[in-house]
Amino acid sequence: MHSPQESREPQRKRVCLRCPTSTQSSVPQKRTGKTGKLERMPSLPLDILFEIFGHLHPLDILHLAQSTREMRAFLMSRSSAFVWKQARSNVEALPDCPPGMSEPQYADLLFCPRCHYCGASKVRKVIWSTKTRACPACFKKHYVRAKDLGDNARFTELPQSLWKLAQITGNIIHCASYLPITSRDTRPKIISLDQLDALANQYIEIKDQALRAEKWLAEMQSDRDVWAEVVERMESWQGEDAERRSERNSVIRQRRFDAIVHTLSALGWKEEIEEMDLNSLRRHTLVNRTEDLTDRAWNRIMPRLVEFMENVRSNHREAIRLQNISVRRRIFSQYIDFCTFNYPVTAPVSELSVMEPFRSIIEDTPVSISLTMHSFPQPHFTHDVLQQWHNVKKQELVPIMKKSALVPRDIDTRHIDLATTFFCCNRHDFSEPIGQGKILAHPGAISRRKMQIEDSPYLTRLFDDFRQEFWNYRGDRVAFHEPAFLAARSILVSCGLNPESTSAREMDVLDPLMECASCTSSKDGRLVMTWRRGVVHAIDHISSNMQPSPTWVMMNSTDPDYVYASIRLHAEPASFRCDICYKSGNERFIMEHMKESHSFLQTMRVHRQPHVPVRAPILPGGHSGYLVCW
Amino acid sequence: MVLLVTSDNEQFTTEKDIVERSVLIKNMLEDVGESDQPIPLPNVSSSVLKKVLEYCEHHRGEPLPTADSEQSQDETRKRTTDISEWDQKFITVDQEMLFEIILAANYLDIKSLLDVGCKTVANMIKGKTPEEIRKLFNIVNDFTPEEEAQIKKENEWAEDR
Repeated sequence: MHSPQESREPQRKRVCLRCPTSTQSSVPQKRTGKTGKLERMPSLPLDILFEIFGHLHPLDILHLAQSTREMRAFLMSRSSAFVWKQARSNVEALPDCPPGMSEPQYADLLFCPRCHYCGASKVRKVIWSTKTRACPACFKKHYVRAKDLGDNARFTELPQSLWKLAQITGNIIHCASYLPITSRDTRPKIISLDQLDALANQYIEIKDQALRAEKWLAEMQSDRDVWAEVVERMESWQGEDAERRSERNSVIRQRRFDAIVHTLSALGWKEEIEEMDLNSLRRHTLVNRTEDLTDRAWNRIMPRLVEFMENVRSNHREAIRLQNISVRRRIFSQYIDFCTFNYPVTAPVSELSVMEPFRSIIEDTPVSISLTMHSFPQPHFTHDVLQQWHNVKKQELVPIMKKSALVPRDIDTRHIDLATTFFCCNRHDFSEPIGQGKILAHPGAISRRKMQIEDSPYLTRLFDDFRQEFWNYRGDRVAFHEPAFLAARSILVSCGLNPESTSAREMDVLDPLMECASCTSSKDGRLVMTWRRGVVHAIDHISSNMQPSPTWVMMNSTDPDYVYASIRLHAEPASFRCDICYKSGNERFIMEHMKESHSFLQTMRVHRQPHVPVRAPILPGGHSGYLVCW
Repeated sequence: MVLLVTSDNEQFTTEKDIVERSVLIKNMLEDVGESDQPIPLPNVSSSVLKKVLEYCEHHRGEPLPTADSEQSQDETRKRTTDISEWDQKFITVDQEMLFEIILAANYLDIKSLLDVGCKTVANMIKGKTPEEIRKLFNIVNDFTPEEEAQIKKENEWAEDR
């Protein structure tokens, strides 16, 4: 600033940086057709320029010095040292420029995060010992562990004291990690190859003059000690500065966050703010900043934050709606259980829940209304829906059948009811033949895949809510059972029936007793079974080493064993199967087995399976008299 | 009341406590004493003086910086570039006006206004790369690519090279 008297002089000399008397004669060329926001700045009087520079950071001064020749000539002159000092004083508690460094060098080393070897950017740490910054690749080239230096013939002859002079001091953990280090080598000695090389050159010149060499070494050691103090001071400042910055930034962030919360609350978002996860707001790019919130800044960010809050509001409402729907779905499950308790047809509750009117009752009833089982239609209506579902799914079985080469191309839904039609579920035992009636109710065809995310979030949530998918969702669960088809076909032929037209129902009514002539032996007796069991038995033949195609004999009612076998087969229908390991037996055995083998007490799931075959005693005059149950 | 005459011969009548934020005018008034004589401001145009007076009116009554306070501020330094909201709004003007205000503040010796102007310019330079600074000043890069690479490494004083 000038004194008032001086200021009264008529016209201030304005052009300084660009005046003919300035240190550089060349005036920088203007960019054509553009206007810089500060185009006039270089023509300001020097004292005002200094005033402006006084508010800058040393890195800004460094960048100014790299912008044009004129600016560089001006700022890199010793006479401008005060500009650098002034800028340096803007950095809290920054130690003075160390001896042997210029102000620009100091500013560059402190604040310019480039690799001093290759120019790579974002090199955060300073190696104060060598006054450099090095990227990992360059560090590996220019630094070495002392223990690895032994391989270098040029250096092995040098005295150890020289090695020590080139050893970097201070906090080397960050750069030590760039070098391969063994677990025992937790604090390695790292040597600057450049420094050692320079020291070696000087030493070799004087090493024959013992006194001079000794004096030189002492001087070098003294310089090193002085610099070691600088290293300690600088690293300590850097640590404190990082802490200060971190603290300052977290205070500013919190202040900004509080101001934004306050302003949003005043704008009517109080309820959402109280209920939302505030961290999502805290992490927002417009909130998580180290700048205080001004009116101007708020006006700039307000539209996006209001949009964010609108999303929060709609997400919150949607979360409540979805929660409510989950509860309603549980009620709907109970309702379907009730409806199907004494009804022979069932359907996946997940699939029923998206059918009308159930879907609209569950999803469209206002949140304020609580649903009960009475909110749903009368059971007879639901029975109709179940039947409809059943008919639709039955049609879906046709294309599944058509995938098999064994099935004629012109089949329709009538073929589904044939005694030769069996399906399998790849979710459970793939070999188990399942009739069409059961495949539509098979739990494996609807069981929820683990950690599955569907294309639609709606379906993901729906399936998760019910812990089941739609029947054969994705079409990969149910397949046509070709071995069962062939087995049933041979049984039907053995019974003198037409496999193309005999239905499963007709077979169940006929209920022929089938003897597997291939398995009947004089030692064990005759193996007799129902036709359905015969299908399973034939598949066992294929999968085991038994004869691939068993020979079937339909037991005649006049057969002396017929009554015995029939009574035995039908009197003991209670054969159960473990759903875990497929072990079969009577109910009591399976209950015990599941309890002991699988520790299942609450969630026992056993399956009644087709009648097991029986061994009928051989007629008198025949062989064995034992009856064998499988 | 004080009468001011701008470089384009426009006259401004203003109150003494407003205009005395300018150390230059304050000293003039002290030197001249009570007078109806207009004070000529040959370095300030009417449009700029209007802005300057707007600033002085807003800050009337605030304590003027003394030499001591300036010195202590310089000693403890760590100058911030924070600008109050009103000042920020006030100084949001085009480049021409910004520099005219800075020059007028310097001429009229209004330290706080000069500070606002200089901080505004400093804020525009802060954090810019050399290329961005060139754009700001509207000047072309007069370094060759080799020189540019070199100057990043060379940071000795010019006299030591």
